[in-house]
Amino acid sequence: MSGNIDESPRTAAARLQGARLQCSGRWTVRHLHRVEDDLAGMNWPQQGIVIDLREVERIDTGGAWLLQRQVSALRTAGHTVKLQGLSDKAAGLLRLVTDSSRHPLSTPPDNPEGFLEDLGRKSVESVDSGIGLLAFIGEMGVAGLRQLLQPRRIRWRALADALVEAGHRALGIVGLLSFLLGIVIAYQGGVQLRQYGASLFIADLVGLSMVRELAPLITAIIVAGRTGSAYTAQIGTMKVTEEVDALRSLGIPPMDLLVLPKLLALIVALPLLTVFADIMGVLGGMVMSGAQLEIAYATYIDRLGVAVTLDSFLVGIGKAPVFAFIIATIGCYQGFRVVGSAESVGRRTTISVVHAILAVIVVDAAFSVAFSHLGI
Amino acid sequence: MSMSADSIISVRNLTMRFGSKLVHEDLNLEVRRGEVLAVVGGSGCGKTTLLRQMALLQQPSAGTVEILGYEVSDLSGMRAQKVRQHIGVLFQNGALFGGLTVLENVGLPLREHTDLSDRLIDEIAALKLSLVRLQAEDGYLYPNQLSGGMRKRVALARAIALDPEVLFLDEPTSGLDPVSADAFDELVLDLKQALDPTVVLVSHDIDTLWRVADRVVLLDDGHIVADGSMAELAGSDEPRVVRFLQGPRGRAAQAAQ
Repeated sequence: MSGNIDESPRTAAARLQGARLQCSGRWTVRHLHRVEDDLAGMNWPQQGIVIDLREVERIDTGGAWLLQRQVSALRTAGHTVKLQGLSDKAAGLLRLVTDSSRHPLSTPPDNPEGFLEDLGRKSVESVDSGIGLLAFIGEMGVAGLRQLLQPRRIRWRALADALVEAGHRALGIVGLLSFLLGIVIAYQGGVQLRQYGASLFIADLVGLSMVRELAPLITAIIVAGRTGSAYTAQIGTMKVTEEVDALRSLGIPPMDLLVLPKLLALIVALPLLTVFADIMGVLGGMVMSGAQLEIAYATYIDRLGVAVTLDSFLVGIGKAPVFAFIIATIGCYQGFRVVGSAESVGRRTTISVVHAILAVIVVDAAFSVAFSHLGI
Repeated sequence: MSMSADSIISVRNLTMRFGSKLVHEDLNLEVRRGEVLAVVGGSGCGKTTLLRQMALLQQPSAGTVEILGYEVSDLSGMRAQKVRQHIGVLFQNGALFGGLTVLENVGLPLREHTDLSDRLIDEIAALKLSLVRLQAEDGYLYPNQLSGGMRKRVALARAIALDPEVLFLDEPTSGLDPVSADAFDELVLDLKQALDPTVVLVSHDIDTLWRVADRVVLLDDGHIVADGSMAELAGSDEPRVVRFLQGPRGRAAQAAQ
């Protein structure tokens, strides 16, 4: 029985002796590669060619096809070809592939894409995608208003699930990263401040930069990578498996069940996560200042109270709901743009994270400019 | 090796548990070389699970599966990889790769396991497509552009890409309209004649069983309760066989033969 999967099989071979092509070994797809090259490089004599298959141990459709291809090429070139020692099975396979080869392989539909055509196509796609996003935001607004007017339509269960997933489960990673960020800032800043004898101002440095800028930003970036991608992947997979259509046909608007709870949950969760990141970042700074600059924790906290005003805190927290809106909208929108296959889910998820992070950073920059003009 | 001379798969004392649910209990089955064996049974009786175990896709809780003379216990090992090149599986929903064209889907096993030139691989893939009666120009479509029947054909073409010795078909005709289902049965019979693989199939379709299967085993409650040709099963008075085959649908299918 173990002869089925031979450990060291004889590969297919073909030797040309005069006008006789001596074939031997296993003419199966796994063992054909040498003979394919050999056949291509042969100098065929002008007289009638005899192909001797007596020593062929086994042949499959791949082998039969290669043989048939060679025979018909030779015949087209004006040779006469005779096959010898054909087993019944080989004869059957040859007939099979000869019948099939009447439908030759068509050439792929080639569409040479010039630079301009490519550019045009991409531009149209980008505009399409932008308009689609605006339409999506509009739809979301309408569905949101409808829910506000009829609060019993709000999916509390889905909202609670989304809150746990986007908020509570993200605490660990957000806390750890902002703690580490606080340590890094304190360490880098502390070296500089000590040179001027201004070590105490480390609390200002860490407190302000964390609370105003870095905590909201790092939280939004983590959440875009963690939750935004999950939104896209979930909705996208549901689209592939027609679950989205099933919801629609059951009279449940996908917007109500899949989008609004996620959006609302993130708008609630992201500011809370930002507060948590503020605390952890400042704590990280405090630990590092204690260790490196020998500033007592009490002194650090006192200084923090003077440096970080309520305005600064609110500026930081105020950006979070905007970031949440961006992340959830882009995540869900890209999920609905999935078409067809698993590959599309992967592509859309990547796009969703990249776009969300990009948009968050651009909007953050816009906030900075606006706040500085307003003098906050 | 304790396998009898003409058996190509032998399942011995196979037990399968999902949590506390017992799917197979001490099951024994021999598949003979060259036959078309159908595994039938009610929904949830573990037909597909048994097929997956024979096709080296799932590890049984206890017992052994010997296929092509090898007893494979490590499904991720080298031996399993080697044996898998000699078996083809048609999955229920086709399981075509969405990012690849039809021709690339069919050519994938060849590209992976042989050193042939791209041209020859494409030609062999096109040949397999014509064996499942698809046009060569269908080769440049993507799976999501195909109808359900075409998708199954492409999946079958991919399953026979390497001329496997054993071909597993999971619900080959499910989801097809009666005309396409008949055509698919015919196709399986033609391929069987042309390439002579051993075929193991799982099906609910009693018409398919009558037309295609040489031997049928009926699974019920984790055991094989009947084993024989369709004609033998149709004459059986074992109550579970009667319930399965001799309902109105079963009688209609029999009358049609």
